[in-house]
Amino acid sequence: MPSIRRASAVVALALTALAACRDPHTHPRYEGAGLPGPRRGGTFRFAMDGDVGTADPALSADTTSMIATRMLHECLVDYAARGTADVVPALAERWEVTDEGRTYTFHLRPSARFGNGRAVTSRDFVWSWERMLNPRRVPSPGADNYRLIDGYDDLREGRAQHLRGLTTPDDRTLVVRLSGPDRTFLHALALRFAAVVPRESVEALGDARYGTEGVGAGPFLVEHWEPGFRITFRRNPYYWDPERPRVDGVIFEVSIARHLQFMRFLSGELELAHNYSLSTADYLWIGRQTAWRPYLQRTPMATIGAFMMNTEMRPFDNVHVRRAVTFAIDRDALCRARNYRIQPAWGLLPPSIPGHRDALPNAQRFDPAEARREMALAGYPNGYPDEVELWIGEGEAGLVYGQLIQADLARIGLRVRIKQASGAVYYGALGRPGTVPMGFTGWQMDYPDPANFIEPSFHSRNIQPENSANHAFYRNAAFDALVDRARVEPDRARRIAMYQEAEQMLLRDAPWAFVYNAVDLSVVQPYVKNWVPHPVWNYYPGDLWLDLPTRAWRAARRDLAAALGPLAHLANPGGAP
Amino acid sequence: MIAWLARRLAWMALVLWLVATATFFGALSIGDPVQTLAGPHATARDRAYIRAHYHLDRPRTTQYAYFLGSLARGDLGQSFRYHRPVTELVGERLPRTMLLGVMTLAIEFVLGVAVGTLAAVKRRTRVETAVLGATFLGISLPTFLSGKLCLMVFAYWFGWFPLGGYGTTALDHVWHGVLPALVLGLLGTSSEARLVRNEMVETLQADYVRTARAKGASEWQVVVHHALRNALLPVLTSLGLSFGALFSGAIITEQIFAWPGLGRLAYESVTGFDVPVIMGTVLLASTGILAGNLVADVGYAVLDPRIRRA
Repeated sequence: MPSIRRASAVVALALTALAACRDPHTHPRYEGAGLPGPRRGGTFRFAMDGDVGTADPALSADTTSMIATRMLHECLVDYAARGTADVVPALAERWEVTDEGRTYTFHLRPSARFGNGRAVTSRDFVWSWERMLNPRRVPSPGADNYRLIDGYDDLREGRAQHLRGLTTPDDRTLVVRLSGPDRTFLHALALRFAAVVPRESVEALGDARYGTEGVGAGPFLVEHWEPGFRITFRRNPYYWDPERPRVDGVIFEVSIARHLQFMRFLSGELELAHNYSLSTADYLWIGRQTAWRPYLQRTPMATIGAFMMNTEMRPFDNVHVRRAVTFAIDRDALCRARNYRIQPAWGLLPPSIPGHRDALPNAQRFDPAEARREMALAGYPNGYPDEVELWIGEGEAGLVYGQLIQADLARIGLRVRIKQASGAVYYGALGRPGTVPMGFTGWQMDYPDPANFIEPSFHSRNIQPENSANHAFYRNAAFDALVDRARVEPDRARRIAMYQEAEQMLLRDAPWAFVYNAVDLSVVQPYVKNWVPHPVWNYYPGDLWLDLPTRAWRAARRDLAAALGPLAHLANPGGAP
Repeated sequence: MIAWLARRLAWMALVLWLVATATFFGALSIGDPVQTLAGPHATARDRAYIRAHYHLDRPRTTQYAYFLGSLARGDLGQSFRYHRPVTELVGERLPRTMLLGVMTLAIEFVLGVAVGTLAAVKRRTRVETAVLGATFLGISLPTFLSGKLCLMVFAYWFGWFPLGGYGTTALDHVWHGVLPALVLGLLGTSSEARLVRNEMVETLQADYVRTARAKGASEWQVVVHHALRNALLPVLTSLGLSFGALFSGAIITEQIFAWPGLGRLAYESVTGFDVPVIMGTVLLASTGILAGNLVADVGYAVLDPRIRRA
């Protein structure tokens, strides 16, 4: 027995010693040097938990691959780094739209070059787009964005070898003819699917190897690709913009688990910790550290989280039940439960998307009395008699939302049973008619235009026997006609007003209960200057510069403390910098 | 012996075929890979193109026949996500997981034998109690907990080890592998230590050990040269068997320590529904386990003629 007591005492002592060790990273390890103005140089390091499948612009579609693809490849046009993400010139210095929006003429910059030094010509664009759109060449998931280019169908079906809608009067002029006007076409050209690739590099390496070893015309070149853990980029000396990027290189570490990313950031091994690095506990912790707080940023994202209701299935075939659901959800409670990593949404169009209104007429809101009134109008004053399935995909957040709205809906007499499924099963079921009565869904934009939020999820064209993108199976001929007119409307103000009218129809018909917009969280080291999350491209280091770190005397002292290990922490329990 | 070995190899081939078949039909019945490949808003026609590109439009039995045919040629197909041959991907990752595996086995062997022998020699003392307590903890602690704890304390707080990753040079790879190998080897070390202790306790009471002591051999000679040698046989067998099982442990350990090996690839292939890579990693893991068992059995058969006759 005495030995047990002694062993317990030793364990207790060890635990106390461990508890006495304060987190050594409550202060940034390195400060800025205090240099004036933007300057060139340095390496920017960040990490993601996923891996880059390929950086071939024709194929790259997932979040992590897109980050690498944006760094390597360039398009005719791009998005402004701040604000509402307007389309701005990139490899094309200017363009004209003629023939009532059917013809686009692009003029390439004289300085447009690939990373191998060769000038980019208009013929390179033709070759790159024909490669991307030819399904026998590469199975691009982005091809449909370009369906309006004249000759698209013939190329896709194998009836033609070339896109007849593309012509090249000279090396610096590209004319694109569309089969019909489309005011979102410039957005499609800013997507990396439409990036230019050098034919000689693709042919020399082959399609598979081009994805990891090839050069593009983007701001960076691959210096070293170590599969599964790190990609080292260096600045492209031939990049068209002589001012940007300002960093000499980027180290992009992939497949780094979230907890590890945060530890490495705090230890000074990464320059950025972002939404995918910060668990809620980490985010709350760093928000409490006064030394770190100035470097923490919250930016609303152009996403919408929602609960969709299948308008073809009972009881949601009744518009009053759907409206009742929109009034029953306490969005603030959801935001609290997620520690404000989301903010409440009352309509479809998120902030930063043209057409968004803070004072939205007929906004969906939390109003239990109104919800009960709608249930009565639906013919269920005492509640709906049967239980309804609420489908949730993978992940913990969806389950939290599901449980909270399960309680909200129970209060208006709608009993729901939560059914959680793997991603593959969930999305398969959502797109199948008559399968999912209610489900957690949402939209993350492809490009910052209201059309991208309204058409894919609500136009009846997107109802199919399998894989419908219109998960609510919402059909409204007036809505479809309005959205079709908006797509070709040349006047920007009128076009936005039409989308706002379409949003009003969705608020009235309630195929979705709009619930939240995600908030992007990021924290950078003190020496990272001019860090503003890009409205479209994740973690793109185009504008930032590094006020390169000086090892302050306290950083040196902390290094010594780390070398001494627990003894140092015990000797300096306050952990003062 | 040759007939016995041929029979074992035939069984191995049968088990591999069963695993391949079950994984093939299992993976494809979970969902539609085209859903993941095409993205949420691809049109039906685009889906059809992608389906045709990966031959997913053929009848399932035809796909299965293609798959078996390719497998027989050593071709595991092309990854949906990486757009590269699976054999190439696996070839890049396998040496890294092997390095981690070898380091883990070395740690299991050296630490397990040392600690187990110490416990046996210091029987009925506090040392034995401490060893039994610690090994009990080692066997019970799940890797996701011990891994994160070790990372937090030894790498993040004290800075004694790198914060995960793989390093750049060969020596760096080994250095980065120490902490994950210790964590991955915690369970193995604990069970080896217990095995060695039990074997040694028995062996140290054997007549020939008493004879050695009576002849005046030093305690070191008695323990290391006489007793340990005989106690090691079952330990080697147990290590052989645990080699294949290391792969399943590596899935979690590689995830925690960002070790870019096969475990990480397997995890990502499942979350990204990359069916050819799922197939490749499952088949490789099965082959590893079967090969480990075979080596252990052959070792036993060589050492013990009774097994060969059985």
